[in-house]
Amino acid sequence: MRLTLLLYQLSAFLLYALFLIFLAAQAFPWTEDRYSFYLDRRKIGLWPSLATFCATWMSAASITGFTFWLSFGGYAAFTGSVYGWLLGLIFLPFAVRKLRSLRVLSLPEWLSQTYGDERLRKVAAITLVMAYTLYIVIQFRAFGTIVAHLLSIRITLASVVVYLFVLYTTFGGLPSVVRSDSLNLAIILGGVTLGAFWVLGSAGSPLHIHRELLRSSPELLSPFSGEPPLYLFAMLFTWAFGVASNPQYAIRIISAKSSRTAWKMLALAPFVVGWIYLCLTLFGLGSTLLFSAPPGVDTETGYVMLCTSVLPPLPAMLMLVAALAAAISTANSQLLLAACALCYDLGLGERNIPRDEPFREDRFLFRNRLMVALIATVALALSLLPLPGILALGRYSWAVVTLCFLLPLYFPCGRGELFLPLLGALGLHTFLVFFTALSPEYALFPALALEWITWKILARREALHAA
Amino acid sequence: MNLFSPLLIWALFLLLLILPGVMVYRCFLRKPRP
Repeated sequence: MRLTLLLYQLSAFLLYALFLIFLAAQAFPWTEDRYSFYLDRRKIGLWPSLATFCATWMSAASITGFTFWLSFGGYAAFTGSVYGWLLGLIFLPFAVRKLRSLRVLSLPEWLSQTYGDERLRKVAAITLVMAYTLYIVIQFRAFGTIVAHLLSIRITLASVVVYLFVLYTTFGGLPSVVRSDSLNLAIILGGVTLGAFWVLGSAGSPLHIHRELLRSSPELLSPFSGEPPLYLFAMLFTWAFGVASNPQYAIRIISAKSSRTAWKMLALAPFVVGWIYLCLTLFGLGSTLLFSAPPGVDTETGYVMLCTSVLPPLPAMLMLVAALAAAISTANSQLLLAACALCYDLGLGERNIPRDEPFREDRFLFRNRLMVALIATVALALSLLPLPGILALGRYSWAVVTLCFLLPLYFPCGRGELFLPLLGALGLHTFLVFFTALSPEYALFPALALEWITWKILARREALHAA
Repeated sequence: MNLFSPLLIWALFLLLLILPGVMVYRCFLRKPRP
């Protein structure tokens, strides 16, 4: 690697590290409790809420996976993922009142309070811990590859460096996650904007790129680009339902200063993420004319190759740091939610602490930080193992989160009797994914149907009994 | 195949960007008329 390029990349990484440390450190307060640790006292204003919502939205999968897929698969990537993500956003404004009225600290708690069943809280919390741990593994893999390239170090060492970043930003709870997310969003926006403009400069205007693609590979311009439409639709709705029901977005609705702030955040968010998708799409399509990836290359390496082959050192480095920022901003919020599920919803944070203990809250928060470290360590260890189906596991985790929260949040069938339908749906989905060849996207729909039908039947039976 | 297909894709994208804002304004933020 050329020395100038390495120097550029090293200084970009150091600058990012310094800013992150400075911003996150400001969030460590002298007095704190679980209300401030999980929700930042529900006082987050519009702009920080918008920044943390959008930064959490853009994960490593959105940046590296989408861009790389687009560069060889054309508009099918757009149909399968961007439409799905944006469609999910349409649901969220309808959840604002429901989520904020109960003054809960977590989504599993909301579920149990709304439907009056403590078992729901336990099942949802266990599902969240499992789902987020698997998802963090993917984030670690993605940024391990990128940091290894940026610093010319081994992937193992790079993963450990980023693991420390994620731990550091999560230890301060939501206040520190929100502060670091503002920086992360600015980096993502700057990186993708510069990258897209640079590619437009080399490959020509968007119209020229489309005309060239029409001449050389017209199939890339079709909304399905050779992928089976049924598969793309299944993927689209899995993403949409996943976004609508994922606690990593719902918690930002709860932590906003007021319901109006939450609604404004949801109205403005599509424009921010839309700009990022626009830049990534122009970058991906433009780079199709300038670069073709060798066959069999994995997504993260493909993304690194794409950036470094198409762009000069400075914009390439910014695009890589943007992917890094996206991965960190998603991983730290998922880590916080997983720790919350373990310590608060499953009760591990307060087990064996006497009620009259004066430092009860401090010990509770200490255990939260311990769990953050534990989950991150497990995810790091899993990310270093050669697990071939890890991406499918990520899709599986997205689907089980949907099963836990989609129907209760948006399509409730009754007040009680959700426990058995939910357990049945999770069981059916797991069976279909692990014991038949069905992909997690396809398996979601029979599982959702089972949950809805059994819940409807049980609710009707309960109503008849009451009458 | 012509450029109509990408044009349609981008039009739908634009609609999805605007829709949440319009919905939020009409259903939740707009004050009811006296």
